[in-house]
Amino acid sequence: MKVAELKAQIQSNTLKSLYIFTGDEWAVQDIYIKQISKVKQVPLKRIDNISSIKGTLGNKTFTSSYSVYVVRDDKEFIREEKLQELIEKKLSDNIIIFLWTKPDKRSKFYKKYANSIVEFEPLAPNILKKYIKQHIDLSDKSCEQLMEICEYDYGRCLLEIDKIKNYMKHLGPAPMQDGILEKFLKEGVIYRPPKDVIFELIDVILDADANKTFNMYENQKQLKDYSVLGFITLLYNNTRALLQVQSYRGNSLAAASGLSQWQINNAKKHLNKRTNEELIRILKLCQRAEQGIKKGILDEKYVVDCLLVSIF
Amino acid sequence: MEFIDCTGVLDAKYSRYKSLLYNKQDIPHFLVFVGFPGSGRHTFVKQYLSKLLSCNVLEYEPGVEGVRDMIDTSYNILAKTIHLIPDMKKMSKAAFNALLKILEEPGDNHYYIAFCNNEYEMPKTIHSRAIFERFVYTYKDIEKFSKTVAMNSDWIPRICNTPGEVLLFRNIYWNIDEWVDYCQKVLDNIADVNICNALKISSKLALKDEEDKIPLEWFFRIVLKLMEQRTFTRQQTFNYGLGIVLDTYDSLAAVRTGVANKSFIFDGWLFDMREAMGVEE
Repeated sequence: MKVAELKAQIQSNTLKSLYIFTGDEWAVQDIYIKQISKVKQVPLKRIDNISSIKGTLGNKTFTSSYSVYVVRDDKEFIREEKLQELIEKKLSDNIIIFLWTKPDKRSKFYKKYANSIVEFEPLAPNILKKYIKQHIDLSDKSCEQLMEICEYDYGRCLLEIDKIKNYMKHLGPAPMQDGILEKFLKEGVIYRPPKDVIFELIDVILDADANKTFNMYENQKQLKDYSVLGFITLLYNNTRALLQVQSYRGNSLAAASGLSQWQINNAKKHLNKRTNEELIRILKLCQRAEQGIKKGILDEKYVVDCLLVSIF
Repeated sequence: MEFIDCTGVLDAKYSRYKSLLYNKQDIPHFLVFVGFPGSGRHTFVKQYLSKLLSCNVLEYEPGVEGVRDMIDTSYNILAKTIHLIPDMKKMSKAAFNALLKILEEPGDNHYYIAFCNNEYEMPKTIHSRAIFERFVYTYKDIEKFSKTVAMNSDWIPRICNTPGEVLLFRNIYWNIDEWVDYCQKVLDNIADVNICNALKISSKLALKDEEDKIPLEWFFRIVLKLMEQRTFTRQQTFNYGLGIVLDTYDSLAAVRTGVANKSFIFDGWLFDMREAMGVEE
């Protein structure tokens, strides 16, 4: 089920008894959960597992008869078909919203309730901007900057906005300005992960520039804090994309490679700086490094240094 | 998971243990069941052995805390009990040392059973104290089992090692013939396409858990079986075929460790295969 369909059901008050929410956008899921509770005019209850309510479902009290129950990753409910059947019989006008962090598409549970599953995919940038502006008065440019820093994650944006608002209270009455976001970034109020620097390092590796690579690696302190496995994976994925772009002879590169236009454009900046053979060699080195770390053969402290030396 | 022992493997083991008791001998107090997942070890303990001994089965986590929990329980319970550690591979050195303590002096009414895939994945001190019970199925056993559960494809007994794996196909996967066709196409074309298209082969493989695609381990198993029946033309030599088989075995072993990145493993296999087939990038 798409989110738009769920929205239509909420608006027309034709809600089902069971929904399964998946996807990373927890903040948007929260909005819909509250909206469902508001439309049905029943209380919202967060529970640890469904077994805890199987006895009370269908029982009417003086204060309210039904509720919207929210539960996350209840493995027993996923596994036990008898419990599922029992709940289905007793649900009546109650609604259960099952939050499933890592859905297993092969499982019987997924196939049985496929029509009730709503996937909350990351919001499109223009929609995310609209949502952010509902909470804080920022210019378009600052909005885009905030979205980029928070990696287009609405939940994270909300957390940073909350931080900014609380900080602004202490500064006294002052309107939100573009410059304030820059100030917060400089003062570390908003954390900016060292992602830009890591991409710059990978760019110079793919450009086969040994001097720049080692200078950058020595001088950028943020690189030392970056996860070793994360670096290996990033280097691997970028090298692989470059290999695909460099070796393809045809018209429909995106369809043939499965890469997005952004990835293709990125890879094209490094075309022909290294041969295909060298790129395959880098991929094999990354694979050996990753396996070595995970099997405990290689010490993480030295892997990046050895990898860079081996590549050049 | 349901388990119908039409193969007779579990029944044979059950008869052996029953005859031990009938002849007034005791079952060994420390047993290690060696076999792959799906070979019926859990079923044997819970449905056969526990009924034979009329006792409860308690299961523990394979860590130090789990083993200490097992030791405390052994000293506090008088009733006959089977203590089960279902995955010895995950046990640390400290956990093995703790296990050694209880094995030195097991209680009269207590039996300790552990599972492992390979009898050499434990210290020698534990190995020397264990009695090993191997759960192995022949091709005929798997063929018989797969016909009993209405999985009639010829490929099932060729790539499945245990009844549990046959049930996986019946309950979850179903599409073995489609997978074999796909693997055949990969082997036929892998050297003929450019590297960009070759890397796209992985789009049909489950490189992350929970995807509804061909799991990488099954892909390699099918490729190995296809290689067995492949004939070589004059240009191709036995050595290149052997190279492909060895590369695939290495990749399969890497997948089975469960730790390495599957995308990396598959790409590595792909490059090795193309190199073995004489493709110059």
